[in-house]
Formats: sequence, C-alpha cells, structure tokens
Amino acid sequence: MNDQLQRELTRAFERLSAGAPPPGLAEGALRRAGRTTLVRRVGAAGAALAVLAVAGATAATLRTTAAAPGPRTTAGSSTPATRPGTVAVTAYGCGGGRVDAHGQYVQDDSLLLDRTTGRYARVPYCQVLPSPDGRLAAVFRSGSERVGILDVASRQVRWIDGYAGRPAWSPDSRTLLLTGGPLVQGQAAKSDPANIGFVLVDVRAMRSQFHPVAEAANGFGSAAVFLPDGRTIAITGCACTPGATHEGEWPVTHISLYDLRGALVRTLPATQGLWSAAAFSPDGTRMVLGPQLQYGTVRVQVADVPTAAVRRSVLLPQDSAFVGWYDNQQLVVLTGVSDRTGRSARLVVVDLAGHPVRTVPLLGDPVARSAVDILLGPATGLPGTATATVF
Amino acid sequence: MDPEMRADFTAFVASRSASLFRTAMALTGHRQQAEDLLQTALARTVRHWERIRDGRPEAYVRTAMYRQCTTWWRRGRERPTDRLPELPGPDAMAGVDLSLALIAGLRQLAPKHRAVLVLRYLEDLPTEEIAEILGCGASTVRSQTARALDRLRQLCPDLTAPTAVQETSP
Repeated sequence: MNDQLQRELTRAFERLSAGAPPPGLAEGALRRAGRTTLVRRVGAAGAALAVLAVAGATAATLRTTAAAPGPRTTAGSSTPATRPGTVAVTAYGCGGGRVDAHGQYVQDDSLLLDRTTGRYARVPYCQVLPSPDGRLAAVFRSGSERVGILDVASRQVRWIDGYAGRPAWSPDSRTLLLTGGPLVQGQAAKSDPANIGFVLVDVRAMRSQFHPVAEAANGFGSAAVFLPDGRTIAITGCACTPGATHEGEWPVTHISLYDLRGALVRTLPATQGLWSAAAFSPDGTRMVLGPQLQYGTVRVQVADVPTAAVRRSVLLPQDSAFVGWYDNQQLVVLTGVSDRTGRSARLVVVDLAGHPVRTVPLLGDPVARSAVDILLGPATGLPGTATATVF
Repeated sequence: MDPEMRADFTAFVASRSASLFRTAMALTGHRQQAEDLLQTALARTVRHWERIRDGRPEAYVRTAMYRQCTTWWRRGRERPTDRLPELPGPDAMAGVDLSLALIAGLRQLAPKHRAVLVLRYLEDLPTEEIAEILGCGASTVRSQTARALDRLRQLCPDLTAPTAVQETSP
C-alpha cells in the first residue's frame, strides 16, 4: 500500500468515526442484558432466553377474557379508567435492576397490579409473575435463587424450600411449575443432570414434587410451560453445541411434551421455541413460537396447540419483543426496547400480519419505563377507578 | 450481578465509551447502527462481566462488536449496496479530499473487510492481534486485508493509482 493511501485511509476512518458516544450506554446495556439474563439467573436448568418467557404474561388468564375491547385508557396519567379494556398490564418487573436518575442501581423494585384496587403496588422483588387468577405471584429477590409465592392482597410471601427454577403457573393457578431442580447448599445444582428437571409446587400445601427431565438442561436454556389443558408440560429442545456461547448457536429443533409425572408423551418438530404461557392465544388453540434472539428483526410463528403445526409467520415491528396476545387475532409487542432511556418503550397491538393496530404508552413510573418483564392479564373485573395500564 | 459489579461495569463504560464508540462508528459508518452495535456488545459484556472484569474487558467488547457486525451482515440486517453515493467528479476530486471517496468506499465494503481495515488502520493493531479478535489465522488477516484494499480500489477508481499491495507481517 502506498503511503498516501494509507494516510488517507487513516484520515477517512477518523472522519468516519467522529462523534461523541450517546449517554446512558451502561444503563442501556444493563437493561438489555437484564432482559436476556434474568431467566439464566433464576433457572436451575441453566441459561435461557428471556424474550418470551419473562414477558411471561399468563395466557391462561387471558383465556378467561370475554369482554369486548373497551376504549383505550391514558396509561400513566392520573385519570382513572372509566371502563376497562380487554387487557391490563398485571406487572412491570425490573428484572436485573435499573439505573435511577442519580445513576444508582435500584434492585428489587417492581410494580404488581392489585386487582381489587386496580392500582399498582410497588413490591420489593426483581421479578414478579402473577398467577392467572391474579391472587398470587411468583417472586424473586436479586442475588437469590429462592422462589417466593406472594399473596397479593396480604403481601405475605411464602418461600419455596429446597427447590428453585424458572417459574410458570398452571392455568388454574394451583400449581407453580419450576424449570430447575433441588437446591444443594442453597444453590441450584446445574451441573448434575439428575438434579435437572421440573418441579411442581402445590401452592396451597406448599408441597413440591421434582421430576428429573434431562431435556430441561438442554440447549440455550429450557422453559417448562403448562399447555392450556393443564395436564401437559412442554419443553423446547435445542441442538446443543458444546462450548457455544451465543444464543444463535442453539437452534430449536423440537418441542417435547411431558405428562405431570415427567414421562415423555410426544415430540413435535419445531424451529422456534415455546418459552412461556404468554405464547398461548386466549382461546388456547394457538401459540406463538419465537426465536431465541430478542432484538432486531423478530419473526414469530403462530402454530396450532398442541401439534406445533405452523399456521403463519409474523414479522414483528422492528426493535420489538413479543409480550402476549391481545385477543385471538392480535398480538401485543413491546417496541423501543433498545432505547436506553426507556422513553421510546411502548406496547403495540399488531394483527397477525404484523401490522400495528394501535399503540399503548407504558405507565409513567420509572419502574415501568425500565421494566424487563411486562405481563398481561384480563382487564375484566377491574374497578372503574383502576389506574392500571388497561387497553 | 451485584451492586459492586454494576458500579464497576458503569465505570468501565464511562471511561472507555468514547474509544469504543469510535470503533463502532468506523465499523458501521452510521451513528444509529453504531449505537446499536455498541449497545449489543455491552449487553453481552454485562452477561460475562464477572468473568472478564479482571482481564481485558475492552478487548472483549471490541471482539463482540467485530463479530456482531459480521453476524448482522450475514443475517441481512446490513447490506452494502452496489451503488456508490454521488461524489464530486474527478476534476473536483483531484487533490482536494481523497477521504470523501474513501469514506464512501468503506461504507460499501463487507463488514469483515471493513473490520480488518479498521483494526489495522484505525486501531493500528498487529496482525496476530487482529487474527485473535476476528477468530481467524494471521494469513487470513493478510489475505482479507489485501482483498479489502482491492475492493476499495474498485469502488474508488478515481483514487490515486496505488502501488501493488504488499502485506507483510508487522
């Protein structure tokens, strides 16, 4: 290379790279990482992508929704909703924490909908997963693998002894399903296949039953999810590449169905995964199968339950993540998720062609704006004075 | 991640963000894409912070950016176009601002080619270190550099006629 070209090339790069970095990079990275690492932290089965799972809206709850769509509320304003809509945000979870206006990290700070008042309660947990009936919530605290069951009305928590894992509720709210296993000396024994599987916790009696399932340690991370029938548990299987560290290196190959005793019932071919109960349509006949990647261009599949036969492919709006179903014909996505300030984050209802139908702003609270988990439930039954995000 | 590690990570980003963003800009040529690229790499860094904080975290972020850039390109997120933006004609160009043409040419390069030039001519790294970052051999780095320069010359025919590329190990 001649000297002139080399000199000019260096100059060109210097001109090309001029510009100050944007503010809030660390905060943005933590928010983004929180969305994808939360499940890794809480799941004894190992890492799993949080995109669909921690969005974790309880679709079983949505199945009970029968109300016609109501007028949109002014979310985040102090004006009470006069009439509930179809869907409400039941929790805003802060996930791995957030950075407040003073640059300090705030952990264990989430918003949980109290259905009796229609208002959000600030709760000291980093992850909250409301039960389909809204009376309980699975909760986590930062730095701990233990799973608690919060009584929303009394705010009392009962901690599950001996087991930990990624949570999912049964459709009847009676059983909490953990993808994980026994705790050994207070830690999830992730390296021992005999200790990986799923745990069924009878939340009334607080009795836990562990079923070892090797596949629960599969691939990029698995999430056991109840099918709408309440008798079948689905686990997404991936092709495992030893030493792989990137989510793209764990392609989804199938979805396995197990009975409640941990026996394999059926294996369905699949190319995208089932990560949470939020994937199920309100009528329980279809499910959204999603990619492992959370950001950028996201294409999801709408498939039959339980065969996983793909009926259509939906390209979600740019920079969005699937949150749940609005009704049997429309999905809810969270867009603007990579915005470091959270100001662009909003919910968008899209049709099954992926076209935006309407936009719903998030609650004005900083927790909502930086939430990594946005969970949906039915708006039915909320009091008329509800200030929750209802749409 | 505990509060101490978060504070540690925040301090690292604060101290290195200007340099890292410069690299991201050079790699993408677009501010928005650069922000997204750096953010993606930092998010990945957060996930491994406990392991890498006492090592070479900056090298980790840079490697993540170079690899992410190539991955995006493979997935079609970013595609170089065949058409160059309009530039001043040869007369206006002559001796005035070669870097304008080069910037336009660099934007047309495939990310892997652009990456190898960024590493060499912006970061001024030796071949072996470039090879380590890109996850390839030193000979590949040399051949990729030569190809990138050849392509650049094709894209910018009005550039001063270069001498033959002589890539040698530093």
